[in-house]
Amino acid sequence: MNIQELTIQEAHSQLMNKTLTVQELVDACMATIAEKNDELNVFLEIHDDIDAQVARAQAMIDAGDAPLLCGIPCALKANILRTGQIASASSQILTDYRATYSATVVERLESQGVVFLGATNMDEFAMGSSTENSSFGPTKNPHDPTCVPGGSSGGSAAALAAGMCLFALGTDTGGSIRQPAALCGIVGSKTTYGAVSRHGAIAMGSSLDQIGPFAKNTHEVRLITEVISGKDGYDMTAIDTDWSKEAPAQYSILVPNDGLSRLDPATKEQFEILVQRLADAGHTVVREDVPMLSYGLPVYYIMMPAEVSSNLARYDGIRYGERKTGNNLLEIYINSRSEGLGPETKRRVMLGTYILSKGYEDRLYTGAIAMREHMKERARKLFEVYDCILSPTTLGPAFKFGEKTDNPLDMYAEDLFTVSANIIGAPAISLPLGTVETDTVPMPIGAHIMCARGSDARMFDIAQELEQTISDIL
Amino acid sequence: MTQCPPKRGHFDILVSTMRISEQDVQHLATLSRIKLTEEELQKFPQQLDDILSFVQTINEAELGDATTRDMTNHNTMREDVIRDVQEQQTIVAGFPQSDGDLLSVPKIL
Repeated sequence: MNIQELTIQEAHSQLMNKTLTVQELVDACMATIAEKNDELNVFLEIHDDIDAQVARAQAMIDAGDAPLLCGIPCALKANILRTGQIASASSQILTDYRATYSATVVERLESQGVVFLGATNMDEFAMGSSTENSSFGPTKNPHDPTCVPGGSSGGSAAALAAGMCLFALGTDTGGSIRQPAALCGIVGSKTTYGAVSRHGAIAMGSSLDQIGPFAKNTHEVRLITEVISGKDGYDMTAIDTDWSKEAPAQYSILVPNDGLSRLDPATKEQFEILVQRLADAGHTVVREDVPMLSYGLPVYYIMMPAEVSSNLARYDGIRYGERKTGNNLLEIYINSRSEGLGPETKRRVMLGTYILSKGYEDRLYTGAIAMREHMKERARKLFEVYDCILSPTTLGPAFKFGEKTDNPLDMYAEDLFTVSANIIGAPAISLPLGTVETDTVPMPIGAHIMCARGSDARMFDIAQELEQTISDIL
Repeated sequence: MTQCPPKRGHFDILVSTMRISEQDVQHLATLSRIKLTEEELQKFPQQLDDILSFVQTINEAELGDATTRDMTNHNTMREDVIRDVQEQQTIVAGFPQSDGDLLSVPKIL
């Protein structure tokens, strides 16, 4: 059984017609994990109740008419809670922290019979684009272990790409699902803000975070998204999505010129082939400067640290996580946080503290909010004319470890094409766009589309079309 | 998008006046309840400065008149229903220091 090639649909068929058992499917995944995890450092924890989950799923199948995801093995990013299991967000301050409740998305998937294998590595508290900021060592890209898998959901992306599971969940605050999806050659998407409940996702930037799936194709990503999405009594920002909206047969695509000059040449070439092919297929392709998009990164690096500094104030060593000693309360706070939080986390917490501090809040944070509203309004007008905005997902294929860690701004630039979707709350997806030559082995890149808020169904329709076009090219 | 003259209203102070010193970083660390290593104290001023210079670029933007907040969700409520709390033992088990079922904290008074 080749887990790397097995689709969820095929697995489901085999499970339902009894040519495969849940145990066999999960065993195949566990075998791959045993074989590759030491080298790739994908999973931080294996859940301790897999046998019980397998039995439960098998019982659902044996009772007949089990849902598509029943018995399907899933990898969970370490910042998504599942009751009783360790969720460290790859931080020392939560080293042995066991979740006291499950995320809404986890409960929804469990009711379908999904088998959760374990917690995957990530950048600490979801801060980063390479998984190098993990406190438990970086994850390696399964295509080339000298390269990063992307981040912050690098472990989840690598788990799927390495054949350790059939789908995975991550979180996306500035591109942290879509960018690793591109660098690992799989599909990853983020819904309209609010479409998926954030209850049970360890908070990073609450107005930006969304949980989302990784899978091998758009159809699977959509199915998983439909299962996990929808209103939730535990998340006041969660909304229902109309999944019936369809995309027109021919659609209009905006390709922003901004950022294309910074692309790695091979990536640019591959992307241009796609754009040409779409135009040839009869879709309207317009190329324009879209200055609005270039404000995404600076707005993000004002708003996100501000929200982070607030959200991470709870890690004080008092009620849960690692508590360090001190002579008084203040010392316990300082020692617990200083020893428990990594450098990037500290950097962003302090940046956020600065941004929200007296005298600067108006100049920076309020300004960023105003810019955000402006971007949303501008995007709303663009989406009256265009069905989607198309770009590459990243500037190039996966980079080497250490290549972007000297200057934080180098790493932040990784989010160039992805971050605007989080700022304006729009749905966006990364699809594999083949590979490009590097000085080692050919490495994956991704194509990225963003659609209007609330048009998730339409985005998936367009993405499936795009997927077909891409496979015709390759 | 309406063309307006560049609006500088939100950003009165220009980039050049925001220089982060080691003392500033130390102050921020204190506010954040973080103690920095010597190495971090040396590297962070420049790094934070670079980041702040970068984000100031939104200073140059034409903002137009969009000042209203777009509220998709408004006063989202649910029924206040009492349920059994199952999580108590897991929560207690997670206490860094405990005395029976009670969380131990340092004396503050």
